[in-house]
Amino acid sequence: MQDVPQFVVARLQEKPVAGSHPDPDLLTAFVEQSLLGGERARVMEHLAACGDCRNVIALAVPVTEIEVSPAGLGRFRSGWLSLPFLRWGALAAGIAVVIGAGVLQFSRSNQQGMVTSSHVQQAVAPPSGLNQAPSMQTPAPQTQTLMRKKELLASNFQILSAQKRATPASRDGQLPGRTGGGTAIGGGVFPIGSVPGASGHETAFASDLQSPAASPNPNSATGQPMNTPSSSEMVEVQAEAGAIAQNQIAQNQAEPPLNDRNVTNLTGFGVVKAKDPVPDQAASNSTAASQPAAFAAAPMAQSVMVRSLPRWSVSASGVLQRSFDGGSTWENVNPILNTASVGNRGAMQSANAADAAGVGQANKTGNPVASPNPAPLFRAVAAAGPEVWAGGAGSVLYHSSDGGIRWSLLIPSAAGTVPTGDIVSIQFSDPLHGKISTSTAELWTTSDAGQTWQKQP
Amino acid sequence: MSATKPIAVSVQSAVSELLAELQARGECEKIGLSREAFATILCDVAIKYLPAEPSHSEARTFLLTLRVEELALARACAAGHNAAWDIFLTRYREKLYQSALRIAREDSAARDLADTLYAELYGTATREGQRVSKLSSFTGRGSLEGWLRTVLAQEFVNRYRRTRRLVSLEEEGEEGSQFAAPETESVQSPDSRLESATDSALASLSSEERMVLAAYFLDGRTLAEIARMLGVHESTVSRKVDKLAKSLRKKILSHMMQQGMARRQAEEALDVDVRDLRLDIRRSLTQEAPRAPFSQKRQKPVEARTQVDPGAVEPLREP
Repeated sequence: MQDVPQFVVARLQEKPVAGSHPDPDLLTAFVEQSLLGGERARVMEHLAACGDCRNVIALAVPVTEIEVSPAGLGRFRSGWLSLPFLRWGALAAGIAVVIGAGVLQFSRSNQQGMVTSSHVQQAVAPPSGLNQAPSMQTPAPQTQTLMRKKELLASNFQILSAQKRATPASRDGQLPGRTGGGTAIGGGVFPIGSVPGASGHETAFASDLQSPAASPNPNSATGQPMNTPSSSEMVEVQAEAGAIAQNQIAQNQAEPPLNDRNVTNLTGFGVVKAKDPVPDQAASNSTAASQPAAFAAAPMAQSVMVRSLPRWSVSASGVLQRSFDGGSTWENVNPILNTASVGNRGAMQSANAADAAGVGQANKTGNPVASPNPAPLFRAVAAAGPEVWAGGAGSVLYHSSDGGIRWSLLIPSAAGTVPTGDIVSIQFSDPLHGKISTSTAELWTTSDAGQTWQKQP
Repeated sequence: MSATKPIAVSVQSAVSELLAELQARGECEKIGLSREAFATILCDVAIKYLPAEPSHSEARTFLLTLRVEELALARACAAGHNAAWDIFLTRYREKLYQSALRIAREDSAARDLADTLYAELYGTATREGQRVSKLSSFTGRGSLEGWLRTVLAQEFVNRYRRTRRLVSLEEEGEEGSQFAAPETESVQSPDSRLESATDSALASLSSEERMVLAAYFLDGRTLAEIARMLGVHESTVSRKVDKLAKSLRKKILSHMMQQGMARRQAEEALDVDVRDLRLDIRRSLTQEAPRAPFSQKRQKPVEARTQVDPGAVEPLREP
């Protein structure tokens, strides 16, 4: 990282503060990407000159880290202390698993393809202590039997894929991007090339692991930081909760990461777990799209999946994003622009896009969310194949059946009430049956793809 | 508030048009906020942020971006409705303390911070018998949770800013600027050309670029933190910083050369650590010391140096 000359820094320091400070509402909206072009530009101008406000924003951003349990703030420290042990223990376990899988993987790779590996992946997950939500991995019963039988196979498979990916990790323990290993593995261990199922998987985790202290869940719930990795905090959390954070880290590392705080132990453990999302998708895709027995078709299906079905994520600031290339590049998705059933809102905001397009400051980061169309703040996304559900603040729930091209806004309601708070997790076991939970601890279910909902007591 | 500022017709109509929908979303009945009160709140918020004469569609769009449910809740709490306050406590009380802990990073400071804010939210101060709650300033532009974090952060920054690392940078800056005082030719002119070159280079940057620069080099934020602040990928920030550092140097050098400096001279001026300038002065002063009479003129630079670096004065005193 190149430095700027000392003098420049000093000069930057001396610049006078611009005007009056934005009120907390504007600062919050800035962080949450809710400000429209001109307003955002004005706040940005102020921030360029005002260190205090920059500090405020830096402190106020939502970050995934250990959530302190309500029981006592004192546990905060002990949570941190116990981490290193757990972290290394988990790493050792992961590596052991990884090493065992190597040989077996090669022998199996060509025949079985993704489906098998995915199933065995899932079999491995429970032993590793994950409480995986049933929704995203409900393969047919015969497949589950197959799963259990091939548990060892799974672990082997994981190991090899991890190895493959671990090798190119030349950057201080950072996971390689897609250029890393995994491609050599027949049938495709798609390095981080997971698909919508991944995010849904994690959101499922979020709700399941609500209670324990030092769990990263509420943070997963507040918005998976898929693309703005706060890796150091993530790592510290991982050991406690296991795979969730791992998945996130692994997916985070899909972009060429340049973390200041290098996490050296990510390589082994994180990579191992990175496999999880992929098999989930494979499993759900295979069950949804084709019969589980279609092993031969699986590898093909997989490659087709990666090309045409994006991987979904919700950023830390609540932006819905998808990646068609396994996580290397992400595009923001604003369902409002493509919503069929919310007529006024969609039309009006499209009109305003045209109006304000020229006004807003050119955003060099290329983040389209700074555009005038205020997308809702998303906190959870679940996807199975082309079916995508995204929900967030104000209990807005969008559904797409075509991988995110067209959306419809759903308002869960039962007996005249609607969900309160934000949607923090979405789980769909199949396109018809799903449940959402909110930040106010409500649970709503549907069995007809969201047309009618029932609120669980 | 509606008495002091005339409400634009477009705002009024937009509010009344959307009132039913927003009221339902905000669950106003549940928390005891009347229709009229809510309408007034919406108008006030719209007026606060919209330009003087907004179009109807602008007003509509704006109103739809608001977090109406949280706005209703906050204002109902501010008005003292107990049902609303119960809900607020259930949802936000723990988050308040947790956020305070994350910000203050230390138990007792965090509790203090949270308690102070809690009292302000509840409204311990009274004005004309009315409880004044900070929640009445919440406008629903951002989430209530985020707003609480921001307010906590502001309080924290105000209280503890003296201990932040920013201070050391201020000191460094002061050290550097001190050197304008000693009148040594070799230091002065590059300074002014360097200054103007730097100023124009910085001015040519966008506000986002300057913000990133300041956050990274002045505040010492990590790339991850800056990425979160801006809502972009960390790699984006990293690339940006790199690009900026390179282009700044180029711009400043070219500006200086335009002002007549030779390239090498410009590079030297730019790369010299401001603190190193002191060495030149010390040397030149040391040489002068035996010759120059004991006079005000000599004392001035000595004094200036004393402020900055007491250690450097000693060799001057000896002769």
